[in-house]
Amino acid sequence: MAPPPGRRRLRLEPLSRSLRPSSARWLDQGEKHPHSAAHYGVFAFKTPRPLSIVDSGVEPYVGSTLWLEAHKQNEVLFRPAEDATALQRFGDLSIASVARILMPLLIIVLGFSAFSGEREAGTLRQLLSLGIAPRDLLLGKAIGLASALAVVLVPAAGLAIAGIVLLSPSSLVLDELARGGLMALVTAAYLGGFLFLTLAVSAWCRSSRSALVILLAFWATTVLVLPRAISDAAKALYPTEAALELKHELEANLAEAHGTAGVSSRTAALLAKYHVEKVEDLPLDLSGVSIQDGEERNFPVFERHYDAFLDILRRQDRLFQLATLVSPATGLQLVSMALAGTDLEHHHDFVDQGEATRRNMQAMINDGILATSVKADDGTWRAKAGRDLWESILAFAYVPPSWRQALAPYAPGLGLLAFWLAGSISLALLAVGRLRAA
Amino acid sequence: MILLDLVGLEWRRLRRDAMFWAATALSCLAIWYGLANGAAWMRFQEQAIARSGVIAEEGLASAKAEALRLAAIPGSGIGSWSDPRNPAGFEGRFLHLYDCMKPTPLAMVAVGQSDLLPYCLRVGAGPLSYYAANHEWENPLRLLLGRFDATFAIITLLPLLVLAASFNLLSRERELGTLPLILSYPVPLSRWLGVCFLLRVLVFVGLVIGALILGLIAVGFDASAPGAIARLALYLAMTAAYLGFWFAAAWLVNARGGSSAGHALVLASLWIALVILAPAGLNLAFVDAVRQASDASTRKASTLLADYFHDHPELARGATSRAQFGSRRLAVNMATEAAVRPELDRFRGSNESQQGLIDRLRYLSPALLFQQAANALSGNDSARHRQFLDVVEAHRAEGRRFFAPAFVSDAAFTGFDEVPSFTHRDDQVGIVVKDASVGILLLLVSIAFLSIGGAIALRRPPLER
Repeated sequence: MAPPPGRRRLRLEPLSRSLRPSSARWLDQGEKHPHSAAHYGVFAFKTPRPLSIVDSGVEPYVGSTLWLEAHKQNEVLFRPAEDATALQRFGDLSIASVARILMPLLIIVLGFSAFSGEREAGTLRQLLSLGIAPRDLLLGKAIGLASALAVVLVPAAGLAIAGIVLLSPSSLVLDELARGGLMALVTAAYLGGFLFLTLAVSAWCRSSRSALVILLAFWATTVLVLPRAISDAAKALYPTEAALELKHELEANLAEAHGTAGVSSRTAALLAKYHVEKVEDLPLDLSGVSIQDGEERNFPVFERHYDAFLDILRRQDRLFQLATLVSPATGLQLVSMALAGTDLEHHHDFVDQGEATRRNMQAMINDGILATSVKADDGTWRAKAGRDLWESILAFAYVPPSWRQALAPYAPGLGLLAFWLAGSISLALLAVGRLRAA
Repeated sequence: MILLDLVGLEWRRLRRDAMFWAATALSCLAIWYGLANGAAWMRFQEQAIARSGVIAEEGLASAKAEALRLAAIPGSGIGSWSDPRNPAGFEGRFLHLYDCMKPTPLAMVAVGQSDLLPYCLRVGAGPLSYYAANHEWENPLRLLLGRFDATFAIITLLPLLVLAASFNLLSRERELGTLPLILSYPVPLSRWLGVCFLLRVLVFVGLVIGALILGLIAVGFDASAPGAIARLALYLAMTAAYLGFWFAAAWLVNARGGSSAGHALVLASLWIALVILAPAGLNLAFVDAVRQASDASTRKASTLLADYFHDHPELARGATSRAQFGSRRLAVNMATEAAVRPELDRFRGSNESQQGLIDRLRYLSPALLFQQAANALSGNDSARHRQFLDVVEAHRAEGRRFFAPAFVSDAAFTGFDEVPSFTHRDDQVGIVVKDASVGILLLLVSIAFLSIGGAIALRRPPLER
């Protein structure tokens, strides 16, 4: 999966609210050179969101553990999908995938003969001769079908709300409820589109057989075929290089950044402050400054590489989003993952926050080298830090974006889903309008 | 009416069956699109593997050049980690040793697990290189959705198209009122319907197999590669048997009577049950439970391994020479491996249990049966990957043995050209052939049962049903 992107918008400012006391493992590491502790590092964990039970999204493919250590912006560890078997490639049976893949099928099965069956049985003409307006007939059929679905969906939504309230940290309950409510709304719009399309086709076709074949073909094409086909097309349009090539370039550029480095402004300031010309004459251990300079030389290199890769992934996802026009399932999938907090953007938000924490942590540790160094009898500098420094570095806790931020990249998809619903309703109205002449 | 006359008559009817030809054409197109995608992924892997070789050679050339340059300027003051004459410096900075698993000749038919599992691992002398992040960088959404390869087309789409072309062969005649006319032929209904189905099976499967062969030729299938023809023959046989299963299901449903809409519903439900619900449900119900153990082992092993990396800066403390540092490094490597090994063995055991469970469960769904066989025949299954990891591990151990004397010596390292090289040979072809043959046999048995069931159902008077 995607490497950790070093987005420039690293959230350094709100870092304090995402921190909590460090783990016992970190605190109990004993006294050591601060740089050893920097390598000892800490793990950053992405806390699962309650709605990830509804839609696990890309989580199994991206992992949820980051190792924050010196020098390197590491890739996310533990991708559950890597240990899974090929069975998972048939897809999961999450609530979201059932709603996206199987519920439309249920709608088709329940509704394909709504009008065509009446026509075949000869009761449609009778109904129309009673003076029932076709539009009312459509509304009645739609309400009937929706009521049948509600038997399944309403209890499920109730359980989901209860789950959100029980599982969410108190600070996130409202946001999670808003996300859950929106997810239900968007899913309802998607299913509503299928409901009206089913009725439209049923009204249009002379036989139930034709209606069923057309609807099943539409379902298979838009739900099964197009998402994969579009994703492959997106890769062909916006290709990425092989990971080993990208990593090799990254390593080369990191080495280059260090190779061309001169005296840093920080070192120059220290030389000026102590009125000396050579670093050897400084009355302090410069290694902490050097390490921090090295870290800061790495930052733009990581950012440039990871940003370029992330940019390609976003282009691929944008095309996938626009494909909602031909496959509403793609739009629903993206929006559902965003609301569940299991999409690419949430993952990168987590990686960004992890990287911001890493940078802060390394800066504090490198300051610790400067603060704890003493000159030994042999003239070398020795530094040793302990629990005081470890305690001053708070552990990482992921703070997810609000639902508004989460949905922002998916405005086109939401618009196209609304278009899908409106289009299906219009088609159904048009189809029942023709019933007068039937 | 002799059989040939009946075949001729049905052939004329088939030629005018628009639904059948549309389904066949769509099947061929889906297969070609899938093959093109699979071949693109295969080429991507091949290019990456070729590039890994170039990177390795460049690293080696650079190490030699740097060693020569540094030898000419004594006291250059270069850090030991950047000095290729220091074995740790050479291994860490200049040695880009990638152990790669080449795609098999039939890799283009099924991407399988190859987009998830690393196919090139960077190997060093440290402990257990495959715990480093070696996976391909890919859009996670694409991993979630899976690839549109030929195997996806065959497993998922072709059954739907088969059913679309055959779900109402008998009921349509009844609904159109032409069944009495057909029954007026001097042949039993079962023979007429049998010819009707057999003709469609032969033409559809024949054209699909032809499309597969043509497509494979077009995307550069290397028939001369060892085992290529055997793998292809089994894949084609598996495809024919799998499609035959769906035709047989349609035959049984047709024979049992009922309306066309009813047939469509029954067959669509069967497709959903076998292609969507059974695999996903089995994964959820059985395999995920077994995975908990392997997940726990992975995490524990990785945490232990992380300690190795965490601790390495401390190794230098008190070490007065490079050899002393090297000795400690080796000692820590060995201690870390000893600590991690039991967890890795447990992980491996859990992983194999998962696969063993699937091997047993695959008989519950022809889709599962086909997927497992296709992944194995394409070489993109987990079993081949596990075998690859074993070979990588052996190579890493060989590398560690090679570097050990240099690490504990203060002498300049010069063995740039003597680093052990990697060779990987597939030794599981026999198992793959056996598994695929068993799968084909099982599908044929299923077809036989469905066909017999249909024939028995057709003995009842058709007009009453």
